[in-house]
Amino acid sequence: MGCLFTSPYSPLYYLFPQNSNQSKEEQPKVYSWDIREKVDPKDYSIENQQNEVIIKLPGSINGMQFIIQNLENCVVYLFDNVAQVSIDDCKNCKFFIGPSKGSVFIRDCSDCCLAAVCQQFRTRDCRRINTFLSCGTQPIIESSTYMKFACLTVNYAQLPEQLKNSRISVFNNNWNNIHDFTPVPGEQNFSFFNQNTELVDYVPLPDKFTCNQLKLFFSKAQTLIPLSVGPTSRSNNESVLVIFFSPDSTGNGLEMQESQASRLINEIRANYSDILLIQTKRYELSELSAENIFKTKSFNNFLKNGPIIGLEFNGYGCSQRCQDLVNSLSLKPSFVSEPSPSLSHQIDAFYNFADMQMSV
Amino acid sequence: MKRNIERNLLFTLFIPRHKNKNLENCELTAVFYFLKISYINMGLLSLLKKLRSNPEQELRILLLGLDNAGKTTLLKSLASEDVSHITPTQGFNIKSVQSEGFKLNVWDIGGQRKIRPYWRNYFENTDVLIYVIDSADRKRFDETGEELSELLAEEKLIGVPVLIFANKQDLMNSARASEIAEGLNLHTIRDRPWNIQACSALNGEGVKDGLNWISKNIQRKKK
Repeated sequence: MGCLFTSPYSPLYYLFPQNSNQSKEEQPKVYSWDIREKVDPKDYSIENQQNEVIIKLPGSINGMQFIIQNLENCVVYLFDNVAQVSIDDCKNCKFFIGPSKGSVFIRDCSDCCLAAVCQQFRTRDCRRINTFLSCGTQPIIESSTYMKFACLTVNYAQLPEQLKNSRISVFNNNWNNIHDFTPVPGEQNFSFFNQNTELVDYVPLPDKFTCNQLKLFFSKAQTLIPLSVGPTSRSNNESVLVIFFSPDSTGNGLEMQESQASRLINEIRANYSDILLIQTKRYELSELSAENIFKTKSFNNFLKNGPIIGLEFNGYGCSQRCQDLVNSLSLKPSFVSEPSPSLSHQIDAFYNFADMQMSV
Repeated sequence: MKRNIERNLLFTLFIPRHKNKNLENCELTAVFYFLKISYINMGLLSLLKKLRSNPEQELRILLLGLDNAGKTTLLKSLASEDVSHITPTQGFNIKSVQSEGFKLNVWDIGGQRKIRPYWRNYFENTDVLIYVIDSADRKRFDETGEELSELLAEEKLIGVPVLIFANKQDLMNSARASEIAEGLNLHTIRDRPWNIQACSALNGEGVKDGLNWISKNIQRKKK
């Protein structure tokens, strides 16, 4: 009966010719990477150089992968979106890495200073790296010693747009929450800079022309990334949790939420030098978690509009001052915690839900 | 092979009913045409699955590879979840994913050098090993090759089908799957079914094709 298909005298032979069917199966599938334009890897890598200053301006990388390897005494600035960055076998170098949608991975390097905005930060087999970070997830180090971390302070004209392209929020910065895969008993592989540290002392600004062109600042006063000091710097018993919600789910709503959070941070910074910003988080809060933190359902309506922004301040009288500022500047919709015995639980819950949200 | 199954199916199902030869040809054409359409639409596997009466099969899938290879992104991509805010894995993640009538229990284990010795704690009862490679991290091709060959030599993983995802094909410096297959000497694997699939877990391309290979292979194993 097989001849029904193989014999040219059978109608089935013509209706379903075997050859065409087979060739369809054998033809390899075409993926986007099979047909994309070829690029020259040299345009997206810097390698084998000494004593050079290399600057990549906005628009020169356009979200591609970037490779840095085998440099000595070099200063490298990437002022553009990148997909992921690997930095290998570098000595005595300084780097600025613009928003990386994926990881910044630094390996087999020593005596370097690095400023980076990224989704992930990873190190392996490194020594003496000073890192200034805005990192969307928990930074990790492996087999690395004498690592030092600080909060990144930077702004330039194209940064807001580049952050948006990379889906990175400056309000979700985990620079001080380091995970060490290879802890040594009795020793600490990493430490933190003190609050007076300035980025320019470690990664210098580029030439004046570039600074003017980019409207580039590394200073604490101009930073777009909120300068937080980390939970280890809680000096006072009094903390306050301020949470901003998006008034609606449009882009405008989210922008307004961010600008209100920035406004409060700037006002506190300008008027109350003894009140410190401890941590900032931005994440999607579930209704159940929200009730647990706020002890009321009245904020549930805002949750579906998008992620919340949470700020923790610490310092004498911070609750009252935040409450006053939120009222006088009418920063709404928002929540300001009140001093109460359950406050520390409230703050812990806020961070715990953030960590849960970040895990798979 | 597919064609044979199709033909056998057809004849066992329909031929005995017809006595008149002329009718047979014409009706067969119609019936076969219907089958052909459904074959294209659903895929032969789903067709067979519909005819099969046994309940959904559960598979234990182990997801391994170096750190930063994209294992967790792949895991989330398999589950059709947002992949834009993924954190480096410190221990492991697990997800159950439905695919082609299988329930896949996927274990994604952190890949840092320090914690690779713990991989073996997850070997037991593995149905399929998925090994993920960052195709753009050429510096560590040797390292990932060594880890893979150690896995393939593991007693507890003997005969376990291995699917290698040449991930991050969207990146500029990525090596093609064929290049990686050659570099890792994959053609020397003879003791198990294996396949290398180019993919980008970030945009999802190629991931489904890898899953299809898994369901086909499990199907073949069962028969």
